[in-house]
Amino acid sequence: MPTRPSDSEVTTTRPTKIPKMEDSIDVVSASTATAPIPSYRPDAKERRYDRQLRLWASSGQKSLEQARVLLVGCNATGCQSLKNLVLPGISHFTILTDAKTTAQDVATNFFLHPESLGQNVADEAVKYLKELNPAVEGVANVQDPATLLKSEPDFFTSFTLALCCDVDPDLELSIADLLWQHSSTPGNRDVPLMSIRNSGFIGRISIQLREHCVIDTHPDSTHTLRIDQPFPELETYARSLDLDSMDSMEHSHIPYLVLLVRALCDWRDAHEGQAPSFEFRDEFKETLRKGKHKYDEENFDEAIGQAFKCWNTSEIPYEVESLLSRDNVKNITASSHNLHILLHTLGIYLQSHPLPPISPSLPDMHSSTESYITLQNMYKRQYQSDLAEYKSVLDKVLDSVGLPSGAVPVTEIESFVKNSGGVDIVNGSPLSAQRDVKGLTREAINEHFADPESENHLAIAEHLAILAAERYRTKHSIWPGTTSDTTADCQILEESIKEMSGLTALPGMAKEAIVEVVRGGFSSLPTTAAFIGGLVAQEAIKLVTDQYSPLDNTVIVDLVKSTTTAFKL
Amino acid sequence: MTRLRQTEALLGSKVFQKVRDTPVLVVGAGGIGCELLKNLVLVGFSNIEIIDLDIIDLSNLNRQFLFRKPDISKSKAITAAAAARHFNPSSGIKIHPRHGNVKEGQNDIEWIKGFGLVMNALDNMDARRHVNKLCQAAGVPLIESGTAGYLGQVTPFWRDRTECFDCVTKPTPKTFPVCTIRATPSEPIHCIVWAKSYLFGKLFGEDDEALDTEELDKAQAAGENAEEIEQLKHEAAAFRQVRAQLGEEDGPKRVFEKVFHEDISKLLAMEDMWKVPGRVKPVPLGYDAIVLGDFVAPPLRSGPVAQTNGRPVPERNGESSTSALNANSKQLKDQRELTVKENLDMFIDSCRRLSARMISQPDIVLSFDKDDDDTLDFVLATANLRAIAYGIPTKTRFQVKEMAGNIIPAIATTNAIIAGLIVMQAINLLSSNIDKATNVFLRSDPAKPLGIYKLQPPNPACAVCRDIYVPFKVDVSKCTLGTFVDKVVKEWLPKGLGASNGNANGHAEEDEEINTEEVEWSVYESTRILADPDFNDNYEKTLEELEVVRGKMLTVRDEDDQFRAVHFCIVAPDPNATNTYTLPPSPPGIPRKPKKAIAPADDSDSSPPPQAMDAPAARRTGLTPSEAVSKKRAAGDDDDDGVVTVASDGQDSRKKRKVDAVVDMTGDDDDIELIE
Repeated sequence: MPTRPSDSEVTTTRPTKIPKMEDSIDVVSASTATAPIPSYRPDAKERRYDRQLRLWASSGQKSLEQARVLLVGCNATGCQSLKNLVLPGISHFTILTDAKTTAQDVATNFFLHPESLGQNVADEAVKYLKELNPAVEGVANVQDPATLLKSEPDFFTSFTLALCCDVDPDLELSIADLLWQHSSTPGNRDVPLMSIRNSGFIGRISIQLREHCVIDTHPDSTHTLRIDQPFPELETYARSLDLDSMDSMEHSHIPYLVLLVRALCDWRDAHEGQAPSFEFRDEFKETLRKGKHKYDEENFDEAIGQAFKCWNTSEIPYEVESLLSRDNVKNITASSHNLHILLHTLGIYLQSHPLPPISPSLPDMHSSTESYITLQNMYKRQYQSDLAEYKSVLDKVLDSVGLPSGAVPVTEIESFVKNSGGVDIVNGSPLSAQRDVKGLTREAINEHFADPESENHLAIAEHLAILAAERYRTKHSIWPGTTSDTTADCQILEESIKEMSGLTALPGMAKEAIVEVVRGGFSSLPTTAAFIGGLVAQEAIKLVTDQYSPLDNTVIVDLVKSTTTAFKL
Repeated sequence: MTRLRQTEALLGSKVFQKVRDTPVLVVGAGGIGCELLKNLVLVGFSNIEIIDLDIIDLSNLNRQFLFRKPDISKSKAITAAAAARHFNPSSGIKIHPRHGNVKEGQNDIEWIKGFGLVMNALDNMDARRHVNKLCQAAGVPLIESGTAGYLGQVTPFWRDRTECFDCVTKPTPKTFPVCTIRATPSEPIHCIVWAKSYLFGKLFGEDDEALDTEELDKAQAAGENAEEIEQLKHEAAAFRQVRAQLGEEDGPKRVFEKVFHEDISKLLAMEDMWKVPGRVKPVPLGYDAIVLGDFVAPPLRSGPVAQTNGRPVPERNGESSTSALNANSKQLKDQRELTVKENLDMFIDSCRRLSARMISQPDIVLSFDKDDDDTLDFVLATANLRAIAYGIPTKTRFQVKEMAGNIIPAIATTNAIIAGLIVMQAINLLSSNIDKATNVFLRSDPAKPLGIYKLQPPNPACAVCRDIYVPFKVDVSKCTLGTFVDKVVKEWLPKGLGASNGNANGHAEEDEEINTEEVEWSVYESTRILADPDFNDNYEKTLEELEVVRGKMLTVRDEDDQFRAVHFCIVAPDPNATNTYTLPPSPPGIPRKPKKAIAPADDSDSSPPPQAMDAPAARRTGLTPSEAVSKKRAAGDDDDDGVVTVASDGQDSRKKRKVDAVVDMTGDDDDIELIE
């Protein structure tokens, strides 16, 4: 046993920190009352969310605060997912289930109390989850989901996002079908659905979404610096520098970007206008090295290190170009998503401009303040000019579909123009197709399953085991692993997988996967629940904020091996 | 017990029994700590100690889910334990919370040996290294973890089986030359560092004249401009007077006049200083002109720029302080740019509040704390006023808080995922399944959220986990240093050490030169030298008098640096002990250090230093969260700062200029990053 200090030591407080009075404004009063908080001070709400605002900014927070999330079913994993959404401040959540709290629920679900036993589990979990954040509305709906689906389908489509946790497979598919149908009607919002299964150490998350527009994928780099195709002002500037006669201070502080543009100009001049192909990169770097006046000129070293950027082409990236040819981007209407309109406009812009608009941002580089600012201002001027042209194209586009010129907010336009390489549109597939082992799904599965060397082999085996278990559940109304004869359960799952895959003998790993899935008995292990709850909430936040590329569409979690494997079915 | 039947079935009864029986320590009750405590309790860990020195802040509540509004300003450890108990009042679970610092003396090697497993959920490098060393000394397995935004990492460390936290050198924080901070700032960060690390201390913090002079002397010796340094010395001396009058009605005005008018005017008088290319002359600020509203700010050295110092940009449209965009009502309050007048008002106001605190609580030395509004307001206002004088763009409160407070973004989801992984690794370690234990990274790649890497073997050159540790039960009030040297170092430790079992770690030196000569020793406490063969002034002093007390280590090193260091970890004597000290039954073998130090430091100028704990993995795969973080910081910027002329304070700092203020880019938040 560790030695323990006496209790008196426990109560000593940290001497340097002084309790703060202003913290005790609660969220509601701070955001509604006319409290005399100095105008530059953040209110209580901003303070509560400070650390996440730095991640997804106020635009992301705004989307989050409008999100209404439905959880069907109520196990540990579902409640952990909700916890991670209530804390950052969604608008509303509903838990829908008519189940009562069992002893097993109390043991695995942190948001249930021993006194919850026998009560409606939705009521109990909502009570404790709501404590996490007074700004979030939580509702328990204790009706039978299947009945409600028939009597009141609009209930399901009134949410921003639906999570199904440990829901009967048939019911889950019916809900998914309803949401898929709903979003196919023009003008209706897409309501994505996340299906969550958990059996012991193994878990699966599947996402159904029809079309998801990502306004910021937060890529590592969203734009090139136009080194390969400098705009006229930049080229003129780079060519105008008298490298040989400038003093050493100045020479060693020319930004590397300018050095690269200049070196490329010189190369083209010496090679009949041809830029160096990638095979000549060493020779090209050598010309830079020769340009040094002194051995230790850091800006030249930087240029050599960044020389690869000369081969980063500034043409529109393939991923974005392929978005331009989508039907709903080519043919827009007044009710089109803003991103579709902006992309459509970009397509037209590119008919008269060889390159997409430039971004004004520059990375850090070794330079004097003066040269850096000169350079930065050049980029800003070019950006302003590109932006103005883009906006004029946009106005025509808006006009052509009968929208006024301010229909797309300026901030959205600017953010798109600066970040056109960082948008994406994801097309998902319906949950029913993911569950049917045929067509593309069958191809995807067989590709990895038949090949024991495949990186995804075990994960696909686990996915098939879960699929087989879902079929078992539909047929027997209980989960495999919950009977007295688990060996027989494994046998049934094996046969089921053979039928699905068309294989007559299963690879060894498939049997391993089956045993592990059956062993878990489709109950939640607290650590797995914590882990999956984190992943689910993370994906939910991506879907709600339209930031970052979402998972598309299946991930298998294996906490025996601490791995996650994602694939598209 | 029956409630956990299912968990028992899944874990196996043998492992489950270990889960029930093993005393575990959780260091930190913040973002990861809360999640971890919940998981441990639910899985069935029944003997948990949790320690944290921090109190709860409003900004914790977006993720530290065991805390509620009324808990603000209460102890994190105690509140977390109470909440976990409330939710799980089941029988037999003991949670022992402690509000205190893990670095306190009572938390010594004997204390850490009482645990079967330690889990770090820390927020700073210093404490991480401390716990790592303790665990290495005691041979207790440690699971280290960290998160930063969407990224996270979990790594087990176990003496002799894996590398330790210090096997890979961590990059040093970014620093700036003294004169850049104090005389010639060119970026917002320079102004913020000046306000936070210099001006604040001068006016409200500990005023250490000697330290200041020493720093300036060193900077001069390191090659900074002598004349500029001389000027800065005068400037610093004059602070004492304004500080003394701070509480008076016109105290803030006097400070303003000195700092923003006189000091700047004096710098301007040094003509040569402004001939350096790229330097822009500042304009002294006029107090009355600002009050009357007829102050004309000098032009910005560039167009209006939203500068972010490499951090993710909160608002992509952070364009201009004057444009109509700013009137946009959807902007958050603290993301609004302030006018000169507003900055001045905030300066006066915060000055008064801070000086009132200084007068009413003279015993409490004020220090900058990002969550203490008075100090943040002061830093914000003074940094902005300085920026205005130097034609540098000002920053919003939101930005200054992040830049001055080293804020790491933190969210519930990442912490939840990481805490789940920690417990899985804990189960691996408890089932003696070290082979299954891995180094796990959480990334933001949706196609592959987790990356797993094999645990690395210890670095033979590591000065933490390859050293020798000896528990030393001693009455520090009786034992003198002389006794220690004569009886322990010279008699007890093996002589002619090279001959003892020198090749313990397999990095064999040929033993051709079996050393029969006596080795000469020096004794240190941390970096403080207490004795060497030619220095015995301290021999008569007791260890207590030398401040070598419980929790500290007496380190014995040979003069030629041939052998591993031996650390004597001071622990309390047995209650009934009659001897002054008690040593283990037999002395340790002291291996030689490997001949060619396989320095863990990076030796190349061109490649960036390894940033993650697991640099080998980083090199192998090129994929670590920290790299992603730094990439993101570089690439995510909308508008980057101007020039960066930063001297990095690396191992070769002799070559570089002495630095003034350290910008600790490694974060000081509740959830940390190891990723430092």
